[in-house]
Parts: sequence; C-alpha cells; structure tokens
Amino acid sequence: MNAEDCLKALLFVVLTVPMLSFAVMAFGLLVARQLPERRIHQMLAWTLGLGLTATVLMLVVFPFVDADAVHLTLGSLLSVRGYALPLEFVVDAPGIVFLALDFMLVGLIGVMSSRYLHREPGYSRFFLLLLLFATGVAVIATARGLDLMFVGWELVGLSSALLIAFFYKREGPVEGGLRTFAIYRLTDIGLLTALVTLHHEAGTARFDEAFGGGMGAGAAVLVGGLLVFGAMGKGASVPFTGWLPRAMEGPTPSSAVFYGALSIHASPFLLLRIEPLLQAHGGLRAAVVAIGALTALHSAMVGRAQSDIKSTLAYASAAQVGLIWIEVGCGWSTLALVHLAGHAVLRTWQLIRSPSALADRMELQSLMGGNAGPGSLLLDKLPAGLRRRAWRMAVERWYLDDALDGIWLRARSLLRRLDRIDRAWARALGSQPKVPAGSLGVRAAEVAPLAPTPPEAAPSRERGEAR
Amino acid sequence: MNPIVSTLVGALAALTAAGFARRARADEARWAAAGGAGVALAAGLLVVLWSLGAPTVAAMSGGLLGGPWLLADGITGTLVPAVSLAVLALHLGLPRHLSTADGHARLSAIHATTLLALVAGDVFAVVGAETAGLLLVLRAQPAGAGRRLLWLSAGLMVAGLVTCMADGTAGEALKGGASNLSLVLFGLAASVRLGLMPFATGMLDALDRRIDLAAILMAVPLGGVVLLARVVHPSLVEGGIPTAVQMGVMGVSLLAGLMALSQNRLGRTVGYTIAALHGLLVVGNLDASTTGFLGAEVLWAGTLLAETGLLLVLVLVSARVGEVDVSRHHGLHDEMPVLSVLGLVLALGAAGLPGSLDFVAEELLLSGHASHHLPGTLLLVGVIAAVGFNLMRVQFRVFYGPSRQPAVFGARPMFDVIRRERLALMLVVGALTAGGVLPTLLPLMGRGMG
Repeated sequence: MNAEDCLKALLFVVLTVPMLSFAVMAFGLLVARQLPERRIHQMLAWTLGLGLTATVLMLVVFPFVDADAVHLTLGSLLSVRGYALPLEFVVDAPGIVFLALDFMLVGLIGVMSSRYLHREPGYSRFFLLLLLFATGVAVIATARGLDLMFVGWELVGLSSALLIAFFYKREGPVEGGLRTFAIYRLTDIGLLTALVTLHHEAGTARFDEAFGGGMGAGAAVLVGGLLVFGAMGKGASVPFTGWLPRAMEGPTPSSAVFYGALSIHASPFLLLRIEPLLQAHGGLRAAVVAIGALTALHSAMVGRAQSDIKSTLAYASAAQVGLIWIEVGCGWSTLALVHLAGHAVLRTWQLIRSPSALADRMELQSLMGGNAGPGSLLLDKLPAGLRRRAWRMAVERWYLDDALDGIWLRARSLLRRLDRIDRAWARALGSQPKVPAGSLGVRAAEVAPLAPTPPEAAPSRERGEAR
Repeated sequence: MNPIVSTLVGALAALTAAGFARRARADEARWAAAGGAGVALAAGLLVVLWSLGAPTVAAMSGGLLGGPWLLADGITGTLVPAVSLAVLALHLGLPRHLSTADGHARLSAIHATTLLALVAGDVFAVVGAETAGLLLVLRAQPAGAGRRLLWLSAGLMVAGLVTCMADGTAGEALKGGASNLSLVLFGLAASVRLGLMPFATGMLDALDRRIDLAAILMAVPLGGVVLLARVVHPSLVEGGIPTAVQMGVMGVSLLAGLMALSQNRLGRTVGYTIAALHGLLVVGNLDASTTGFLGAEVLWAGTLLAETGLLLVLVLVSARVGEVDVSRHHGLHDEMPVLSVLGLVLALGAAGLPGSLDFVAEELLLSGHASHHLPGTLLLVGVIAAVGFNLMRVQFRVFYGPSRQPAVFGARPMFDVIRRERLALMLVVGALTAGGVLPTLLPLMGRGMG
C-alpha cells in the first residue's frame, strides 16, 4: 500500500466512523431506548479517538505524497442523465488542518461534556448532535466540490440550531435557535443558488476544476458573490451578527466548539476553497475585505459593551473571523489558515473557561496586586460625547437587529393583509367563520372525551387505547 | 410479476378493503383498510423489484383510442409504493376519534383511484381516475370554499377532456399532442386540486378549521399530479413552456412560503407551506428538462410521504392537547418525546435535509430548472428556504419552550405515541430516509424515466 492508498483508507475511516456512530445513536433515540451515559461516553471516545488517530496519521503520511491533493471517490449518491451528485472527497493541506481541528476540539469538548452534562436530561441528545456536527465538519473539510460541502454545511447548521435550543424548556434558547436557523436558511439561499449556477455555467462543482476559467466573467462574479453571501451567515458577518450572542444560550461546551472553533470558521474555510475565484476577480476580493473589516470593527466595538462573558467572547470570535476574511481577501491564505487554527484553539479554551471567568479574574488581580483591567488608552482619549455615542451604538449593536426585524415586520404586515383577503374570499365561497378556541387554546368539546385519566386511576395501556 | 398487474392487484385490494370498511365498525374498518393498503404496498414493492430488472415501459393495448390503455413506467414504479405507504400510515395513525368506518372506506377508495390513475394509459382513464378520486375527497369536505374549489377542479378536468375530444387530440394527449386550450384547462384543474396559490383557499380553510381526515385528504397530493405528469408535461415539452407561466407559479409559491411565515395559526402556517411545496411540484412538472421533471416526480413521492407524516403528527398532537397555534410555545416535548423526535425528522425531511428523499428531489429539480432558466432558480431556492424555516418554526413552537399543560396531568411522558401510531410514523420516516440515502433504488432513477 503506497502513501496515497493509505491516505484514502484513512479518509474513509474519518468519514464513516462518526457517521456510523451517529446512525446508531439516532436509531436508539428514535426507538426511545436511550443508551446509558457510560456507553455513550465510550462510543464517543472510540469514535473521536479513531477519527483523531486517523487524522494524525494523515498528517504524517501526507508529506510523502507527491501530489498536492489526493482524491477519493465513493461512488455517486445519484446519477441521472444530465446530473450527478458524486461522493468525491479530497485530502489536501487546508482540509487536513480543518479535519484535525474537528476531531481534536470535538474530542476535547466530548470529554469535558461527559462530566459537564452528567445526569442532564438531554445527555444523549447532546452527544448525538455533537456527532452530527463532527460528521458535518468532516464533510466540509474533505469535500471536493460544492455539492458535498453544502451537505456538510446543512448538517452543521442543523446541529447548531438544535444545540442552541438544547435547553428547550426555556423560551430564550428556543427562539435563539430559531433565529439562528432563519439566518442560516437565508444565507443558504446564496450557497444553493451558487451551486446550481456553478453546475450550469462550469459543468462541475469541483473546487479544483470549476474556477479554472471555464466560466464567463459575469457568471464567475455572480457565483463568487453568492458564495460570499452564503458564507456570511455562518461567519456571523455584518449584518448577520445578531444571532451569535443568542447562540450562546446553548450549553457552554457546544458554544465553544461551534462559535469559538469550528462552525464560525467554516465561512473562511469556504473562502479558502474558492480562493482561485477570489484571486481572479478584484471586486470579489474587495467585497470580502470590506465585509471582513466591517465585521471586525462592529464586533470589536459591540463586544466591549457586552455585560456577560460569553457574549463578549462571541463578538471577539466574530471580530477575529472578520480579520481572517481580510487575510483571505488579501490573498494571504497560509496566514489565514494559521490564524484560523490558532484562533479556534484559543477561543475554545476561553469559552470552556468562561464559567470560571470571575474566579480567573480575581486570581489574576491578586497575582498583579491590584486592578488587572486592560484599560483602553485610545478610547479614553476620545471626546466624551463621541464616546457616549459610540457606547450607545455598541450597546444597541449598531441597530442591525432592529433594522432586520423592521424589514421583516413591514413585510409581515403586508403579507397579513393578503391573508385577510384570502379569508374574505373563503367567506365569499361559503365557509363559516372559525369558532374561536377557549382561553387555553383548547376546544373543550373535543378534548373532554379524550382527556386522559390520571395515571393512578388507570393503567397506561388503557390510556393508550383511549386515544 | 407484471407491474400493471401488480398495481391493479393493489387497487383491487384497496377497493375491496373500502367495501369491507364501509360495513364494519370503526376499529374493524381501520384494520380492514390497513390490510388493503398493506397488500397494495406489497404489490408496489413488487413493481419496484420489477423495475430493477426490466428497463422498459410496460403497456396493455386495446384502449378506447387505439393506443395502450394501461401503462407502467418509472413514475408508476416510484409512486405506487409511496402512495400505498402514505395511505397505510394514515389508516394506522389516525387517532381514534377521527377513525370512522366511512373515513377509512373513503381513504381506501381514494387510494384505489390514485393507483388506477398511475397506470392509466390514455386520457380518458387518467381523467376518469383523477375525477373519481377528486369527487371522493370532495364529498368528505364540509360546505364552503374547499368543496366549491374542488367542484371547480372537477369541472375543469371534464372541460379539458371534452375539449380534447372536440378538437380530436384525445388520442395523442399522452404523447404530447393535446391542444393548448385543453392543456390550460388541465393545468388549472391540477393547480386548483393541489391548492396552488391563489386556489389554496379551500385547503387553508380546511386546515385552519380543524386538522382532521377531510383536511388531510384536501392537503396531501393524492390527486392532480398524474394529470400534470402524464398529460400536461408531454404536450408542453413538445410545444415549449412559456417562461411567464413558470415564473408565475414560482412567484406564487414563494409568496405562499412567505405568507406561511407571517401566520400565527397552525393550520394556515402548514397550509401555506404545503401550497409552496405544491408549487415546486407544479414547476417541476412544467419543466422541459428530463432532470427537472424527474425531480418533480421524486418530489411528489417525498412530499406525499412527508406531508402525510407531518399532518399525522399534528393530528395526534391536537387529539391529545386540543388546538395549538404557532404564536407561542407549547413545550410538548416532555409530554410526547417520541412524537416530537419523529415530527422533527419529518419536518427536516420535508425541508430537504441531506439524507432525505426531498433533498434528492430538490437537487434534481434545481439542476433541471437551472439548465434552461437560471434566474428562476433563485425563486425556487427561496421557496425551499422558506418551507424549511416554516416547518422548523412549527416544530420549535409546538414542541419546545415552556410547557403550558396543566400540572394535573401528572406523570410524564403520558401523551406519547402508542404502538400503531409509532409504526405509522416510523414507516414514513423509514421510507423518506431510505429514499434519500439510496435514491438509485427508486425506479425513476434506475431507468431514467423509462
């Protein structure tokens, strides 16, 4: 077996192991037989351990391969006349780095979470979603084309939204998850349209072939623009930054691995994959730099006005990702990759430590013998009025959420007017107005015969049959 | 076994079950009807097996118009098991207070007409089977918008057939020779039946009033699509499809998706979402490319299964806790955890999550559409995004958030699915997942439309 074959075998392991573990756990959850915590922990340890070992071996073997990249094809998900969705993967330097981050950080978070979430009711759900996330990131890291990257992108988005809503009994996390999903869905429009356009214009969605000059300039700019828009959601770029602090409603370990480490860095990773396209079109590069700069400025400013440590760290992450966007836009791809990896590791550590932030701060203060605050020499020199205005802007997060909500509310009012027309039309066609529900939203007449008997009064079998 | 014979056996089983169910008590009717649907499903799986080995279209000649009067192809092979599975799930999953002998008998009869429409080989047979199914749905509806719009759809179908006969194109209708006027009439009939905007009023009214069997029959695409796929599509491909029509359908689908977002009532949210999904179905059936058309037919199977499962979940929820809306959280996950998980999987399936049948369908639909009309693709992607978000919103509002159930209900989870309901939903989830993971097993895929 030569080095190339070895890499292919390792890649196969890396892709299939988390997927299989996820399938086993999902099946268990679906038939409502949850595995005990110990078993889940063992399964996770084996899965991520195997994945990490395979990734490390890939790092060792990769330098011995002559080519820049090794390709692996696992058949095709579907293939009909005129369209195919091949399962093609690639092992290259950026991919291995992202893959190593995936298994290392998800593994660390998994180990930490097995204690952090001990006896939490959603223990198995958390690890199920963590495995789905690890699978999604592995697919993003190794996808040869945009088709498969989109698959991974969707898996990451879904697991992200569901983990934000992990504490599903509270309204805040649930609404946070829904808002995040809405932003992801909105920006996915760009990604999906780019994918289809790429197939149409370039005849392929492979990163190494699609941007080689087969497309016209207009189409290339369109595809690039759509992809940049698609990356803005996950990267929490301006104006979509608002979901990020809300995402911190999820458990701290998942916040760390998603919004400190991997999910948020999927956006610059996508930009790195389409680097040839960006380099060929100055306008696209300028757009990427501008968005990155605006995001960095916004997040750095807003982050200073946050009153809780997780939101501060979230905005710090967004600011750094903005800087990575600038690096990619300037063509410094190696620097961007190193920055990405370093920032992911640092931010994960910071977020994991965030519950102990107060203790850490006090320890630091006592070590320094007084105030350990970093101070802000530049801001202190600004005129008081300007400082007040800047502070207000930062506290209000530049009014971006208000602006987005305002657009939606105006649209909703119009749509409701259209709905009223439809109801009037239904009445004109002879439909009777609906009988309003009771105060609890329950129609007594319907529910009364179905109301379950209290458990002590009847065995469960009879309750089931009563339905 | 010959696929036509298999499908006819399935239809016969469904009809026989309808006869038994009509005379039986409600509980017996459920099992009789489920038995009929089970036989039809087995027959449908035989059609799938047949299609794996036989790469041709099967036909039986001797029709009224000289051509074949029965035929089976990739569409038949894919849709017969999907339709049978959806109907079986409905028979099994309906809560007891909605399970009436008449309801099961009607559903079985509609099942039979859909299977017959799927093997119909000439325009008389297609329109006859579609109209019969439509009338059965119609009779289940209360007086009002739904009933009137279904009458309109039936009238348009018959008018289309009469037009075909009058201009002498009936014999060529399935081969792409239907006249423009009859195509317009058939297209409108199918759009009204499928509840495309602005004809969604009946479906919205039914779902808003109460999600019961009549509303489900109104909402799920058990009829209308065969007319589009067998009659309208071939003729439009021959004669060229007006871009304005496609853009119009895409526009109203996107509008439906956005209107769903603005709703607080569960029935209307789901109704508009279904109208948006059905818009995708119609767009695909009007698509000139093979890939796009293929996507529409796969989407039909996926949508039928996902909508059936989702509506079943909502019926089961309302049977347990009464009416719910989406303006606030209901936090029902703890009371019904398995139902919540199955609802989530079904919502994601309908939203086109990778690994589901709808994902495959949407990929094909988008790819096919982009090949000849790139700007319209953006509208389609918008519809897909809106549908996905709407369904997640329903899931999050109904199952997550603070629980509003009175504490008197005591031990948890006490409202979860019972065995037959779980079986019904698991069958649908399994089919959606299997189709998404192994789409090459679908007869439509393996045969490239035959």
